[in-house]
Amino acid sequence: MQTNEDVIFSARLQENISHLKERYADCFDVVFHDFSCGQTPAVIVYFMGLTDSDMINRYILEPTLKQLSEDGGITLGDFCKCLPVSSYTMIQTMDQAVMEIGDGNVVLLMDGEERAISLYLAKWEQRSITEPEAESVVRGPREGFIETLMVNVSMIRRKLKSPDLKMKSIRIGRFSQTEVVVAFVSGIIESSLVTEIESRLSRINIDGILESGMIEELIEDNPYSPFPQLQSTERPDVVAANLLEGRAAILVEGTPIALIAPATIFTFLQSPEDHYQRYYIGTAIRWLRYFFAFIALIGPSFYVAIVTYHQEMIPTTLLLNMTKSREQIPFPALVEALLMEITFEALREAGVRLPKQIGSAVSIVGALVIGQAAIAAGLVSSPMVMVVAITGIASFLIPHFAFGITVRLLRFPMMLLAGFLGFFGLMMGITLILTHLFALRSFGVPYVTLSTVSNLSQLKDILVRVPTWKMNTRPRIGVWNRYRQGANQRPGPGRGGRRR
Amino acid sequence: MKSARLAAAFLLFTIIPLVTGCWDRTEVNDLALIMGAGMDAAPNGKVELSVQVYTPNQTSMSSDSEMTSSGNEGDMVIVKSAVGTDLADAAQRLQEEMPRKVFWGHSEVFIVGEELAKRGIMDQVDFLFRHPQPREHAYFFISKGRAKSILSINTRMERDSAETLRELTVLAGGMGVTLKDLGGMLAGRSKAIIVPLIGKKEESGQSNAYPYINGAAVLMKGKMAGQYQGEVKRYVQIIRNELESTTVTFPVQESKDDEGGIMSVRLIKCHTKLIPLIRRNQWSVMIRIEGEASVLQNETHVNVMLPQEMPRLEQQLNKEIESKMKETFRQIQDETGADVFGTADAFWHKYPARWTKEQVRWDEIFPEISVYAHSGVHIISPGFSGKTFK
Repeated sequence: MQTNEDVIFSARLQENISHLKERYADCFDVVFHDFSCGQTPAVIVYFMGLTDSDMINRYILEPTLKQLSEDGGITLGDFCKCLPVSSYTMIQTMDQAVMEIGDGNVVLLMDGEERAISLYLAKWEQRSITEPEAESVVRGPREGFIETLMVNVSMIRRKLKSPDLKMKSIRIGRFSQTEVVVAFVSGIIESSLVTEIESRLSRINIDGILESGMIEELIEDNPYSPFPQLQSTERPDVVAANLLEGRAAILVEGTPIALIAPATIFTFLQSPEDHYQRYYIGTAIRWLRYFFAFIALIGPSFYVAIVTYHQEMIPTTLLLNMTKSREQIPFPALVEALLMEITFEALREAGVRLPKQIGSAVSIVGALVIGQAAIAAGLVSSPMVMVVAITGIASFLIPHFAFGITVRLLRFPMMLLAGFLGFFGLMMGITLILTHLFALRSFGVPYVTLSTVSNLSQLKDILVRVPTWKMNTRPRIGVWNRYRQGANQRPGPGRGGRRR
Repeated sequence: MKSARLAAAFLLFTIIPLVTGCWDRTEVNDLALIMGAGMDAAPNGKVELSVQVYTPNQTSMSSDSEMTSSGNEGDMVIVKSAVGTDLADAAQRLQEEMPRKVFWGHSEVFIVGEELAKRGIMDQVDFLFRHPQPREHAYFFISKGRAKSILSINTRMERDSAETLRELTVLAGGMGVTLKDLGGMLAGRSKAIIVPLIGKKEESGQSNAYPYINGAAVLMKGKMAGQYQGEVKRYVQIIRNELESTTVTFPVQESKDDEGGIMSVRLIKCHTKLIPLIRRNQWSVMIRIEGEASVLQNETHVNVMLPQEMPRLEQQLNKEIESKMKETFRQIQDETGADVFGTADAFWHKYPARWTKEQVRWDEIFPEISVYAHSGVHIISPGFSGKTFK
């Protein structure tokens, strides 16, 4: 398509139509409808199913036939003025026409005109707004993005009504021509970040974008890193909150998952609910999450290292019980751990892919496999079942799936290191991961922001979750529009009435 | 090309650790976990090492080793011993008889038999410090009789006799000496060691025997020089500032026409300090104790609820403590000449120059030191009951 030279409309309708028909050869779902506008022959072109045919009848054909039938030669400009359609654009070239038709708009061509109009009558079946399933909260908005870009955009616009909320649209994909919107709040965001995102997006030259994950892989900083470098969310409130902190969102037509850039490691360990619950609870749960994220990474490897190399570190009574339970186990602890962890991952994957009705069967079988039956069969020891179960729970505490699955994956090399080299290997693995994390950047922002923090106020939404009335400054991302709220927001009786 | 090299590097890194074929892992079920060890004197100057080994399954019993089963069914400890020219040699012989790797890391007690203690412990203890596995937090004891007989006791209340001994030391007044403490004492200025002495008590036959802390053994230059039980041991601990709380019973003289009675108090938060003094070549030490006490048992007519009675009671209590402390100090001075109170350290602190000059003579100086005592214990509580029943 791109290779064809763009053609400007000619004044002869027949020529334009034949050109369009040539491009839409073998497309049964395209409709060329001839009619006459007064004395002037006209054609509307649209896709069946993408366009509301009822509206075409009522707002294009009906008024044309009724009112304009007596008049003589009419121009396209006059025609538009008397059409009861709220928005339209003038188009000059064939490529523009093809794009508009592809979007579900109705393109109207008229004899004697070197241009056409595109009427916005696109309408197709879409899913209704439902609760986001991957990021559910107890307290917080219940709506999630859907597959239609315009609906998603409207959800954000409903939360941030200021004209400072900017949305820039780019089309990506040679065949898919997917519409991608970059949203940001001017005045908060550093403008170079927008430029960077736009330039990275414009570099993409690919057949089609089917999901935002493809965009994520094409614009991230370090393509070899196992860690996600853009936050993905299906919650409009998360997008709005991030826009207000000076980040940019990338919304993609056809997927309910939006991307947020830049991301740090802490964005993946935070849940939107941290900010909706009371701050004590938010802080406590956040710490719980940090702790269990660590367990999810090193839990089994720590156990393997301690059992095969560092027996003196186990409390005596526990060691005696472990010796007893390991007495009948034929495998080394490392093999035992790998066996159980791989089984656990397989069960988890089976549970995700299966239809819901069969899911319960998997969980029953899973309870047998990772449980008493495995111990009774003499395959694994009971402490190992415990460790695997705790690690499994721990990895589910990570609120973002993309990050959780990374941690789950890194667990396996860690287990191998611990199994071959003990704590030395474990420390080697942790050092490697930390080195990588501290070197990683997301759109120029360090992935682990702790390393660059010179003042404590940057940690107020990382180590703890300070009360909203204390969160006066925004997190620092590049150039910094510092204050997010007026000073002295602390509530209390007598406040507000008197000015201080 | 680049990716091929990357793949080669990856393969190299993953294969190298595997092709070496050495994997020095030790699974927990390949370990012979030693719960406690005992050292006894053997004929011809040899040493007998006895170890209490945990065996998780009942099937592996050898006929020659004594076997004791503890409370839980299935669990047991067996006692194995080997004789060697020294401890390391005996340990090696023990390993040769064992199908699993001997692991010292969980041995919580080390017991030296009385006979070996009299011969000298210095040489054998060296093994425990030099070997990487034994913990410095393991407790050290000297047993009356053979250490092996203590290890072989079948205890009812705890997992095994080693665990029983460990629990005993944890309790107040138990006087726990860890390997670390022992090392400190061995390297200390006074060259005197005090460790708990354990014995075996039999209630009704072998089946109901249990180990207990019998007293304290005093060692001079690594050789056992004396043993002290009961009140002497308690006052040694008070002077060493090891006891925070203990019970003191003292006679109360009431008015002249009354015969008086006995009162017991519980000392709490007591703190002892040695104050050394050298005056005209006369070395002396003042034992000063401060603390609080509450009445535990009152067998006199004194109403302990009355504040005005307190000075009189305190005076008599302090008199008792002072005389007992002096008595104890002198007894140890006379009988063993071992400075187990840390007097040497106190003199070194206060008179470093003098100490350096005289330290070689310390063994002669210590028995000549004159001792004074001052007790400043206050009775702060009459106990739970306010009534006087007499």
